[in-house]
Amino acid sequence: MLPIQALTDKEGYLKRLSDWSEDAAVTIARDEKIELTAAHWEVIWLLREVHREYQHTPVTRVFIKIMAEKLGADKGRSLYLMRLFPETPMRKACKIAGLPKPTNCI
Amino acid sequence: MSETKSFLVLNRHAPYASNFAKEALDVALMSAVFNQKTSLLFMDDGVFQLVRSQDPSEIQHKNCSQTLPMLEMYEVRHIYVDEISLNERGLSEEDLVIPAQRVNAQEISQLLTRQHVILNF
Amino acid sequence: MILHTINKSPQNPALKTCLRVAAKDSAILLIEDGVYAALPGPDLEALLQHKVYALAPDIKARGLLEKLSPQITLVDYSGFVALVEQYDTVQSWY
Repeated sequence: MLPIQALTDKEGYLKRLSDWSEDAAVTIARDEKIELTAAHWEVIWLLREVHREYQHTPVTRVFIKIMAEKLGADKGRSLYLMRLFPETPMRKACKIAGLPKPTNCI
Repeated sequence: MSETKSFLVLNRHAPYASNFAKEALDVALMSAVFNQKTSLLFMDDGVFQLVRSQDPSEIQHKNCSQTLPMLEMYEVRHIYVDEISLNERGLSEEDLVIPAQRVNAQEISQLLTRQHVILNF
Repeated sequence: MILHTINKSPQNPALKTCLRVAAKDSAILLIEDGVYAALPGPDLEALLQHKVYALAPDIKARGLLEKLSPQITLVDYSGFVALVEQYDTVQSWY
């Protein structure tokens, strides 16, 4: 595999969505000091699925609503997402999921 | 945040020849995030944005019709379509990718009049 | 009250659609190729149900000064700005 830096832009987002793989996700997450667990993967797959289906990355508030629907009410909370992807959850989750940088992070 | 304003996003152009469809949708979703009272109205060739089964992959375009169902999740509930524009183009509700309320000229006139802001695309 | 602006010739659906939905008390300002609607044509009667303005520089540029309907009021650029200030909303049909 190419070093991940060859595939990402200067902020660490993959330049081509098709370059994403689970290995790439692990590498990008490590750069963000996140060790991926099953709880992270569940969110990453959901985010990718939403993006594929709607061609859109929702704002945090809306994604949390979708998490509540698909993963259960206990997980549909901003605190839960914040704990998995600290500080800027949507940015980090998108970066690791191989999706473009969200245009806003409200 | 200032007071809530009513925003009408008015779509009158077909998708793909321009970026209007995408920009209109971005604006509609963002205004909803900022808790504005957002509505969308589709008229003239803009009704073609609502047509089902669009697949622009071979013309290297993003498929905005796939994003339309997101409006509901952003709690944008007022989506209107001009019935004459639909009829003129031989379209009916079954052809549309999301449910939209059919409105006549009189209703559109009232809709335009009661908006704080009309954004044209 | 709404000021509708039209910048496309009457062949474009913009004019017809605007006339179909414009409230009686709303005004219409013709600019750019929209000024061709000031000539005698199938939509002129419906147009004149409203207060109608046309941007003089666009009328002059297209040689329409002698041909336009006398019920249409010509405005210059500062008149355009004054109209925008006068009405609650500007709706551009393009």
